[in-house]
Amino acid sequence: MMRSISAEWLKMRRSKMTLILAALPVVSVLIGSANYYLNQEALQNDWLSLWTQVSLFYGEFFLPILIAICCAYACRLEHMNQNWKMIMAAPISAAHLYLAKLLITGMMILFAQAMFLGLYWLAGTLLFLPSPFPVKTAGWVMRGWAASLSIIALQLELSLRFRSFAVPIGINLCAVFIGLGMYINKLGLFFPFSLLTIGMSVLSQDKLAAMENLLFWLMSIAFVVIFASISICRLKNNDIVQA
Amino acid sequence: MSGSIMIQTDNLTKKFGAAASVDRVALQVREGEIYGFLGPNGAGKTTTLKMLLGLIKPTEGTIRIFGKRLEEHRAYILQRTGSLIESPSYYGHLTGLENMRIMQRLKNAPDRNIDEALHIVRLEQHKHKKVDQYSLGMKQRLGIAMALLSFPKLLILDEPTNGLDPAGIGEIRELIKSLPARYGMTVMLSSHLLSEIEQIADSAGIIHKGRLLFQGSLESLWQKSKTTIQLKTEDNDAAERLLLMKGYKPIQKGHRLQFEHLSDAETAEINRLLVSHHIPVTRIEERKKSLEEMFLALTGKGGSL
Amino acid sequence: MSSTIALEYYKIRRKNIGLMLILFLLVEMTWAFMAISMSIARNPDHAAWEAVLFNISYMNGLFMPIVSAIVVSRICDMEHKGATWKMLAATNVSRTQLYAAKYVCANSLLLIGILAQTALMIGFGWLQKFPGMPFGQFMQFVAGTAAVTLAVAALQQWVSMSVKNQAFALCLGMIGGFFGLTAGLFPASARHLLIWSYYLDLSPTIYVYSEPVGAYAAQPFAFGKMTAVLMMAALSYIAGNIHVNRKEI
Repeated sequence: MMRSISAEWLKMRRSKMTLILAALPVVSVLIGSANYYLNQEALQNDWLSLWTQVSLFYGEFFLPILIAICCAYACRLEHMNQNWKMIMAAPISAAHLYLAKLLITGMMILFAQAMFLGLYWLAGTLLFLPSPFPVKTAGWVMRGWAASLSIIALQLELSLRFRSFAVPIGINLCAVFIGLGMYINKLGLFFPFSLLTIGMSVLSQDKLAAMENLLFWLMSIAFVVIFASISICRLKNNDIVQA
Repeated sequence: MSGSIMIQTDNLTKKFGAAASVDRVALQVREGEIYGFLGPNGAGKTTTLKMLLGLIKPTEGTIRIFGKRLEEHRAYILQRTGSLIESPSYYGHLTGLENMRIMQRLKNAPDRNIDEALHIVRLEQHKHKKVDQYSLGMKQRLGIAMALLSFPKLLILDEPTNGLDPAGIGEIRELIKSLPARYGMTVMLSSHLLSEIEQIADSAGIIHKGRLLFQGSLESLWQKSKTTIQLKTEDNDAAERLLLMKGYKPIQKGHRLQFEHLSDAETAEINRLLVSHHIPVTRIEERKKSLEEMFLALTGKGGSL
Repeated sequence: MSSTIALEYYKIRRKNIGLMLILFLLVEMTWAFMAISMSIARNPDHAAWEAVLFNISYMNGLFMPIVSAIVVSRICDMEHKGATWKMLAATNVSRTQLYAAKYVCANSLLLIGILAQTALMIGFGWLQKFPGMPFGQFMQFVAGTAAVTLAVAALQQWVSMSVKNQAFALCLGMIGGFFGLTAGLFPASARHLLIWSYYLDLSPTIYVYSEPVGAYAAQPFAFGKMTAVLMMAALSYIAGNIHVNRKEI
C-alpha cells in the first residue's frame, strides 16, 4: 500500500498541481473579502459574515470543480501513453491502486482546504475583525473535507470511466447545480455535492442537530464505500483494451 | 537530374541551453538515394530531422531542400515531403481510414492514394478500426502510410521499423528499398542499427554527440572503418610464423588469427599461402564491427554511447 | 483555409462535443428557468422578457467560461493525446492556419450553443406568455454573448494549446466563471479589465437594485464596451497564435 501511495505521490510531482490547488482558494478568499469589505454595513456578524462571503463560491462551485480537476488529472496520467497497461501489470492490487489515488487526491484537497482556512484567518486578521477567530470554522473545513471525499470517490469513478479530461468536469458542473437544487429541497444528505454545502456550513451556519450530524457522517462514509467499490470492481474486471 | 543534391545543411546547430545537441552538421543527401542517418539514442538524429521539417528552428546554420531554403519555402518543401518522426501521430478516437483522410486533405492528395498507401503497408483489413485499438506495429504502419500518402519526392523516416515484428521489419525494409525505383523518391531514414542501414541505404551519415562523424557511400564507410578478418587453421602457430615471414601482421586471439585491413586480394593470397604450405584452413570469417566498435573507431576514443 | 476548417470538424467526429454542449446548456437553462419561475411566483412584475435576458446573461457569466474551456480543451487536447501537432506542423499547412481553423471550429460550436440558448429562451417566454417580442434585445444578447465568447475562447485556446496539462485550461475557465459570476461585486474600473464580466455588461437588460423591490431595465447597446471586448479577443488570439507558432515541437 505504501508503495502505491508513494508511486502516486511521485506521479504528482512536477505537475504544478499545487499552483492550481492554491490559486482557487486565493481567488475565492480575495473576492469574498473584497465583497465583505465593501458591504460591511450590511454584514454585522464579523467572522461569520466573512465566512459566508468567502465560502459561498468556494464551497458551492469551485471546490467541487477543483476536486473534479484533481481526479481527472490523476486518471489522465494513466489514460495517456498507455500507462494503464504498465500500472495494471505492476504487482499491486487494483484496490491498492485505487485507494492510493483516493488518498492522494484527498491529500490534495486537504491542502486546498488548509490553504482556504489559513487565508480566511489572514483575511479576517487584515480586516481587523474585533472578535476572536472562531475555531469552529476549522471543524467546518474538516467536515467539508469529509464530504469532499465522497465527491472525490464519485469523480474518480467518472474519470476512470471516461478517457476525456473535460467530460467528467462537465458532469461535475451539472452535478453542482443538481446538488444546490437538492439542498434547497432539503434532500441534501442524499447527494455528495449537497453534503459539501452542509458540511462546510456554506449556506447556513446553524449548528447541525445531533441526528443530522450523525447522518452526515454516515452518508459521507456510505458514498465513499459505494463509489470506491464500484471503481475497484471495474478496475479488477475490465480488460485494458486501449493499446 | 539524378544525383543532384536533395538536402543540404550547412553549419546546422541546435543548442538547448548551453549544450549543443546538434553541432555544425553538414548533411548532403542526393536525389534518388536512400540515406541512412545512423547514431545511438540521444545523438541528435531526431533533433536534426525535426529541423529539416521546420518543427524546431536551428540555432545556427542553413537548410536547403530541393535547392530551396527552408525558411523561405517551407510550404513548397513540406508539400513535397512525407515524414514520420519519433512515435507515430494519430487521432485515437478516429479510424485508420479517417486518420488517412485527414492527412489526404492536408496534403491535397488524390483519394485513391489512401487505399494505395494502406495497401502498401498492408493495413486495408484494419482501416475501419479505431487507432486506439491498433497494436504498436499497426500504428507504426499507419504512420508510414501517412508519410507515403502523397507519394512525396522526399521521405523522412525516423526509426521506421520501431515496434515492428521481424517479418514486419523485413517487409518495411524491402518497401523502403523499392521506393526510389518505384516512385522516384529520395529517402532519408534514421536508425540506431548499423545492420539496418547496411541493408537498406546507399549512403550514410553517422552522428554522435551532435557531431557528424562520417558521411559518404556505404563502401567508403566500410573502407574507413577497420573490418577484421579472422582465420582458423589447424595449426595457428605455424600459420602465424609463415604469415609473419610474408609480411602480414596476424594477431593471435583465442583460437584465431586476426588481421586488420585486409583487401579481398590479400585474403585470397593468405588462404592460398596456407593451403600450399599444408596448413588446412578451417574458417575464414569477416568480423563486422558492431556499431559500438564503429563509433570507437570513428571517434578514436572510448566512452559509453 | 476552408478545407482546414472542414478537417477540424472531421476530427471531432465521435467526440460528441455538440451533444455535450447542448446538455450543459440544458442544465443551465433548466436551472435559470426554475429560478425565474420562482421569482415570477413571488413578483408577477418579473414576468417579462427582461427577466429572462438578465438571468441568462448572469448565469452565462458562470457557465460560458467553463463551457468554452471544456469545448476548446477537447478540440485542442486531441492533438496532444496522439502527438499529432508535430505531424500537422510537418505538412505544408501553416500553423497559423491550423490555429485559425481550431478557433473557428470551437467558436462555431459555441455560437450554435448560444443560438440554442436563445431559442430556448424564446420558447420559455412564449410558454409563459410574456408580452411583446423584443427582437432587438435578443439580437443584442446574441451579439454580446458571442463577442465575449470569442475573447474567452481565444484565451482558452492559447492555454489549451500551449500547456499540455489541460488542468490549467480548465482551471482558467473556472476562475473565469468565478469572475463572471461575481463581476457585479467589483468596481467598474477593475471589472472592465476582466473579459468574463462582459457577459453581464453587454446584456440588453440590467437589474436595478432599489427599495423595496428591484426592477429590470433595458441597457442600451454599449458600442465602447463591444469594441473593448473585440479588442481583447483579437489581442488574446494574436498573442496565442504567435506563442503557439513559435513553440518548438
